[in-house]
Amino acid sequence: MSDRIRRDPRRELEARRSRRPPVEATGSARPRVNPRDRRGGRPAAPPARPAPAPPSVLRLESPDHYVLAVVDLELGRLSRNDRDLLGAARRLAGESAAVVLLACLGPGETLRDDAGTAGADRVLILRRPAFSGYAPEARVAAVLAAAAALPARHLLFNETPRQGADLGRRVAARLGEEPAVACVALTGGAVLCLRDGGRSELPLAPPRLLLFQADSMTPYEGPPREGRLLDPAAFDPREIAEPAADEGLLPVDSRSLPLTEAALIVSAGVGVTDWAAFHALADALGAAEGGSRAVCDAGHLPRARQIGASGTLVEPQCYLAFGISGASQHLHGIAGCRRVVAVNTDLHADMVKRADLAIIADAQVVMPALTHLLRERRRRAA
Amino acid sequence: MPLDVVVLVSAGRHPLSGRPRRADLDARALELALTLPDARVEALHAGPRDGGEEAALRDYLGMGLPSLTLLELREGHDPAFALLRYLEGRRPALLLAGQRAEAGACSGFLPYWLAERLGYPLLAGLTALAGDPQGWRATLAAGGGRRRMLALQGSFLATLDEAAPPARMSAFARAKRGEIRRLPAGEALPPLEEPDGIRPARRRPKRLAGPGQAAAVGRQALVGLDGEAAARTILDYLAREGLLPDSLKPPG
Repeated sequence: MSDRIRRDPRRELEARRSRRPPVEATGSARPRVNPRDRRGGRPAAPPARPAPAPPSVLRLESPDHYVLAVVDLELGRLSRNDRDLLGAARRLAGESAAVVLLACLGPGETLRDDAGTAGADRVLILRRPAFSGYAPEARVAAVLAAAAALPARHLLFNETPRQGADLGRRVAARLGEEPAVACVALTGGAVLCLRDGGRSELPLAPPRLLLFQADSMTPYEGPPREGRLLDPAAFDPREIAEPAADEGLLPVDSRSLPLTEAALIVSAGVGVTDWAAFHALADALGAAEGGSRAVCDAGHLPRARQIGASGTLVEPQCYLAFGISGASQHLHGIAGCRRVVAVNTDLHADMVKRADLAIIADAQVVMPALTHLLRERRRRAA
Repeated sequence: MPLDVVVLVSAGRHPLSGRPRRADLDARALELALTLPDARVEALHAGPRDGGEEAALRDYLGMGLPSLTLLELREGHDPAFALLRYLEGRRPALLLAGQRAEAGACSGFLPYWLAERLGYPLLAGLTALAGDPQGWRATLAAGGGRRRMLALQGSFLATLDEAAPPARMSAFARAKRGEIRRLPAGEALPPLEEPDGIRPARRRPKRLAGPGQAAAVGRQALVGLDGEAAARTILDYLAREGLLPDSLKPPG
């Protein structure tokens, strides 16, 4: 065995390489040396490319016609459904028509997102004091005024309960036009609508009003559009009396809210030992309580409060996680959360990676402090 | 004077088995009507004479309704217009319906269309009702599990969705005993246009919400804060995101 000649293929390869400069496969006559193959020394850094210029804004000066997208808005921001709707409007409009975003805002509300990057050529913001409450007739009047004045060839709404789904059908009934509801796709010049509780589908030539199913269309991803603000004075809707007087929202015991409907959830994991502080915090915040699988297994919270893949999938506006490490099944349960705040002692926990704001501290210290601060502010406001 | 209430009912279908049964939302509408004090409740359906919907409709009778009105349609006639004609003559004080049907187009557009043609105001998402035509107090479901109180007068149409209280069970003996009153829907109705090209739906995967959908920027992890500083940071963050009610916002 010992008299066998041992060959080291790697060394032979390197020797071959060092002798002969490598030639590129393009077959050019000139031998090209890849600086990275140099022996010794660091490979040369690739020449610095100039940073790509920001994509220029696409302006549409004289559109063929207008497509009006009526957005729901979530605290002044474009929701996921709104962005999908603008994407759908863009597809319907093509290159020759302008997408107009219509937002009905009450006093003190503002559109906080850039509508141009989301695909809107024009933005129309109509303000009425009534829009901050329940005012279906006022909203219908606003949509009709916008549709008539532009004029809009198509009106698009989200199929969101009590928002776009309601408003879209009211507008359709007022105009006397049958809408295309539960639209899931725009293909080949036709809109695909679901029927029969989702069992069948029907392609239609797009009518004037279309209502798009949530999670069906994709948002706009092209170069940013102009998003030019239109003068609302040109779209003055007639004042129509509301048949029903809004007496306001009823105080609801947020603790008894079903988890799927809660807007604010505080959640406890194994890192929470002071349960009295946890319940006090949920009470002070007016938030619903949730928990990871471990705390429900241990009996600290009822099973109905378990959040995760085998528990409940939640979509609150904000999710406050105390002492949760962030197992993948739990993270699946909060995939739909808009904002996540985590308090954990472990900097490298998966929940901290997922969170938009993470505080590395002991939950037992933060929870009472938060409760105390909330009670103080409430007392000062009272 | 008893309150005149008409509830629009349709033949439902079990979502998994497809078995004909009462439609869940229509049943909730009927439930709310039956709980109103001093109300004369009529359940109304428009359908073909031998449409095979009787089994599903009898489930409504089993809820304690003595009789149900069936408008018998000729072949190919539009049930929407049959209902409209009947209701124009009837003009009930209260018209209730489920938000959408369980079979057919299921667009949920019919109540809106009817309300517009009848000139009735429409309330969507009714969960409770008190009062009388001189002063109603209606509770509607608002987003996020909240409830909104409205005050109105006169006749109106209301749709009910899953937020409304669930319907009572249907008793078989009552369902069998109940009477289905058949009325001819009338002549000269517009035809029902069945669109062609209906095909079974292709399974489309839903787009999953990615974490940090709106922006992945701005994630921060703060170390070394004491309790009070941490609490203030959290509350300021919530206020900045617009998630706190005004009373809890930081002063100034």
